[in-house]
Amino acid sequence: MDEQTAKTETAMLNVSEETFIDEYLDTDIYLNENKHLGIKAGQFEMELKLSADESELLMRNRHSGISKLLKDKFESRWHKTAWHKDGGAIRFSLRLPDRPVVLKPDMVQEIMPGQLVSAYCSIPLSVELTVCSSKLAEYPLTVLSKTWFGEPDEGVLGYSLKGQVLSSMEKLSPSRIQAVCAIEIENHAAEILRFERLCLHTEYMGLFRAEGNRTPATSKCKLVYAGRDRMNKISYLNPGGRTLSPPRMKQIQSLMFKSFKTV
Amino acid sequence: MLNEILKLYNTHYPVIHRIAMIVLIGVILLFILNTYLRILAGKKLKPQTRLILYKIINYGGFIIIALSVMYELDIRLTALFGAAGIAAVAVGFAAQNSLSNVISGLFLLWEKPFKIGDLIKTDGQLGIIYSMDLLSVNLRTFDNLLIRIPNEKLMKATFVNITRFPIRRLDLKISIAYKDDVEHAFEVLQDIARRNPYCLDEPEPILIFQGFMDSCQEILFGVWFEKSDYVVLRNSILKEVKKRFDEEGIEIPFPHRTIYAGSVTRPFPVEMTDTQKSEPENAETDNR
Repeated sequence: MDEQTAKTETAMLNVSEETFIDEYLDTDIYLNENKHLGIKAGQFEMELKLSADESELLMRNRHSGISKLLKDKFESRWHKTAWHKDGGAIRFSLRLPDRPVVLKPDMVQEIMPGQLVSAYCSIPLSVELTVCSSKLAEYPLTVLSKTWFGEPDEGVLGYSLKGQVLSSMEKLSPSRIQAVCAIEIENHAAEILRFERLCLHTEYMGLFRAEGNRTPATSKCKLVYAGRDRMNKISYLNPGGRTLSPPRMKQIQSLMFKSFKTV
Repeated sequence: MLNEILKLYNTHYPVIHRIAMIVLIGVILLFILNTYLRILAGKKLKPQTRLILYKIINYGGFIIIALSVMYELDIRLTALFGAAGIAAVAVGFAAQNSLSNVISGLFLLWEKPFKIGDLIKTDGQLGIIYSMDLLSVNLRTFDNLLIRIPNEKLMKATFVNITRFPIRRLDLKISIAYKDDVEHAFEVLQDIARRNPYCLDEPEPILIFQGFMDSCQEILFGVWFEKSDYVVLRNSILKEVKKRFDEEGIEIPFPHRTIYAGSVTRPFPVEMTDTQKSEPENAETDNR
């Protein structure tokens, strides 16, 4: 659809980040012919409106402040999808990133044998768009660069998260488009554990909001380090509160399944 | 003719009915299994596994149907195999290549050096694995040509699987002039990699000072990327290197050719001629 066709005569209702999170998340949004929404949250910007006969939903999106090389990936022209006049609704929900997040603290932290360390970090969130009860797309609210975790022949492709890993949740700068992730690392090995990078498998983590808390929280990540050549245990625990989005995948517990899944 | 067929039918109709039933049920069963494989199991299975199962089901199924039909026709297989012994030797010699291709194909399926959809380079040919058949592997090139490579040839040949691993490294040989500072070039290249969203930040880009070449200092600049980003990364990073080097005043040298006519110290003689009479419109340009 060309830009000219999509132009509307109705004024656009600009929805700020605060309003979007407070009033538009996890609620059915009903559009009519005269409603033209312009949403902005983090780097994400989107416009939504109905066609004149209310049979199609028109939308376009972009991300501000990104490299021009990413324009094709994160910017779309006006495009449309079928819309049911009766009962059609749009819904936005917060989600954790669609790939693991690789956390790289500013400073390498050494964890002594037998020591238990608690750390906190913020994970940027994505927003899922559902149209007429079907998932249409997912957009990151903050565009993250990609990184690799592991050996070049075997590892995980994830999003890079460089920054502060803090010892207290209060020290994190509050943001409504990021979720707080609590990490607990326990060194059960006889050797010193150097915490240089940590891969948080967000696909196994849920998103929650505690009563009276404006910032969402992810599942708590608990890592028990047994040694370099030993099986280390990572578990993701429910921190309590209302579930905003469940984990994308169920964590595989069976050792047998883990061993043979690649065969 | 029709009478003869009818007569034959009247005499052997129980056998004909049984054969028809075997063929019908066999084909229906194969159809159901293939549909299941394509629709239901297709989502869960890798293309390679699906291909192997597809072949086992179809070849196995048709052999079972053929053997059942032969049994109904009272063709005893023990006698047939005995009689076919000598013929088999002759056919074996004739089908040596085909048989070798079949066995090589089985080894390739077992060894899994590549799978359908992988990009491989062999014998100067670059293409995506399009299909893996009984006798050959088919490659689809980027200009949409199909290349058939016999399994046996592929088994013996050296080939490169370009997309085996999820990430790759793009190595660029960057030349800078002797007057330029290598350290400065390193910093600029590191910054280019850091700013390019298609470069992975881990593993970190590599920078190696390759040495002093005939007309330049050569740097190996290697950046890691997700395999699907090859084209966009290559285009963007080369453009960015040129742009940033121009901005930073780093020269990318290239060979110059100087023509001497006889003496090494004297330049090539240029003689000014009066072209005004013959080509008045080009006179100004030529004299410049």
